[in-house]
Amino acid sequence: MSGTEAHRLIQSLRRQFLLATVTRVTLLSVVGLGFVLGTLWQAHFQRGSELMWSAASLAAIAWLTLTFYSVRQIRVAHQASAFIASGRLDLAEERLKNALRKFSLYRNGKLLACHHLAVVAHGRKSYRAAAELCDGMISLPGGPLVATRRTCRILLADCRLFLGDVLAASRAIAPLRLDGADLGLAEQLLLLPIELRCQIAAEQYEEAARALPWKLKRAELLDAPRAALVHALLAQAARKTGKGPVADFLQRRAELYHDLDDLAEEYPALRDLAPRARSADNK
Amino acid sequence: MQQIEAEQIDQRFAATTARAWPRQGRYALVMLAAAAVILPAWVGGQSGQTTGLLILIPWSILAALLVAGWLAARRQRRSRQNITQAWEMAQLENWADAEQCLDLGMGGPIRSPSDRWQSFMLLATLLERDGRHDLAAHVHVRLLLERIGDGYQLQQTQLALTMAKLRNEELTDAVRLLDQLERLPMPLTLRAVYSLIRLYQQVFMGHHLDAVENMNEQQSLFRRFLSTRAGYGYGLLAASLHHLGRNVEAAKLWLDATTLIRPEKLVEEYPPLASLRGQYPAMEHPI
Repeated sequence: MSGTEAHRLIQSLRRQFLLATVTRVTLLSVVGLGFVLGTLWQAHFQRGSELMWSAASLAAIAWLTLTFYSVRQIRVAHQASAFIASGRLDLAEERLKNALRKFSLYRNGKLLACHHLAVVAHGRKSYRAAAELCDGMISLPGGPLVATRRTCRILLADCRLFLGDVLAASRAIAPLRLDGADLGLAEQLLLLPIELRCQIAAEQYEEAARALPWKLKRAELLDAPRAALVHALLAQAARKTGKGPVADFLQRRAELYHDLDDLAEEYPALRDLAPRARSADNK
Repeated sequence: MQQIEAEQIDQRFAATTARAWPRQGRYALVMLAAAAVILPAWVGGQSGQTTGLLILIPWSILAALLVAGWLAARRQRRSRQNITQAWEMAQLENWADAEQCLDLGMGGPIRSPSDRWQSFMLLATLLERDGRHDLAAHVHVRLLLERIGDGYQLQQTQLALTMAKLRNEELTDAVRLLDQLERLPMPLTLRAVYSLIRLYQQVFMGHHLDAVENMNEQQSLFRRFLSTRAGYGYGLLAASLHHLGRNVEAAKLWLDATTLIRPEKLVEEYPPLASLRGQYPAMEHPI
């Protein structure tokens, strides 16, 4: 999936949201007016009353039909998340793109599908496309639910970092506070490595080395490669802020979690650290 | 953990069981509600005899159904939030808060089997922390008998049951379960957990030669899939090496284990590791 395709999808999503809003308002107005006028006119204007009842009934049936149709789209989005979990990203992408092109009366199903598509694009290393989708979702009027919006911001920052735009990445996560009460543990675990990467890339070592015990406790809950990444970044921050023994301890732990040479290939921020890691291992 | 017995655990299983509505029944109910609104209005409109009551009753039924559905969904959402929060607290080792949130989460029927599995596994973890391994095993057995959770979760339950049996010193049962699990295909993440339990059984029963037979493969499996918990694996391997007199290797592995996990926590989780404390230097944690 390319960035242009993602951009087009977001534009089509905007148009669909507008159409859905217009449809909802129209159907609701017809049901309401039909109900009120059908009752008021029945004594004096029999034919008009019948027409109103018919219109209200048809609008109600249309609403129900469209609701069932929209629910099916949400089901497609959930099915796609099962494909993502089992590693079938190609199938997930195909289903989600189809779901996004179809009309839905409600926004949430579409936003869920769009969010999953961004996750798929990120998983396939199409960072530009994933960034376009996340950026588009955040800027949509009304936007996604609060939790989804937070995940979008984290995903967007990750993509921007991979694309080498540290400033845009920092901007994306600026509204999120790592130690804030509104973030759940799962979100903190997603945000921690990304925030540290932003801080190290921007040479904000003091900031990165702050609240070390709190960060370490969360780093210990991450999977091995990400735990190694966080430890290595914290080691770098500790070394730059003159905490030598702490830096050595963190680096030793990072080496125990994962091979730092492998990580350094994926994360440029670790390239400074890798040679020191090798020499520490040889001791 | 408050005093709890097997009967109360059974009561919790009963209390959290959700009434199963067949899917067709749910659709039929919605269609019936829709028909209750549309048909009287239609008939009334046709015959010209629409009365206020004729219109009001079906709309009230539909509104009541919607409110009931909304309340049920809200209760499920709150229950899920409490269970998620309880898990988060447990991961951060805030056990008292975890227990409190879990009690709230298990206050009523839990519709999602995955949420129900999660809440009972956490209950078992809390019981194990209190040393009540027999009750933890009771929870696991009920989860397996009632097949609560998906395939992956059921395998996790089997592994947890094996560990509870080992800790409760029901060694024959534990070894039988481990032999069964060895033959089952499972994802590598769970295979690493299985290896850790098998290693603990070998160390516990003094089969040290068996424990270190595939030491390198085990170490790489632990490192790849257990993250911080790999430290327990290194500690157990160090214990076996120590008993075999391979002190240099034991010292290196003990240092790695204590670099990832503090010695006191290693011993708390795996008591046989107490013999290594003081024998070999442990890593100082400067944070």
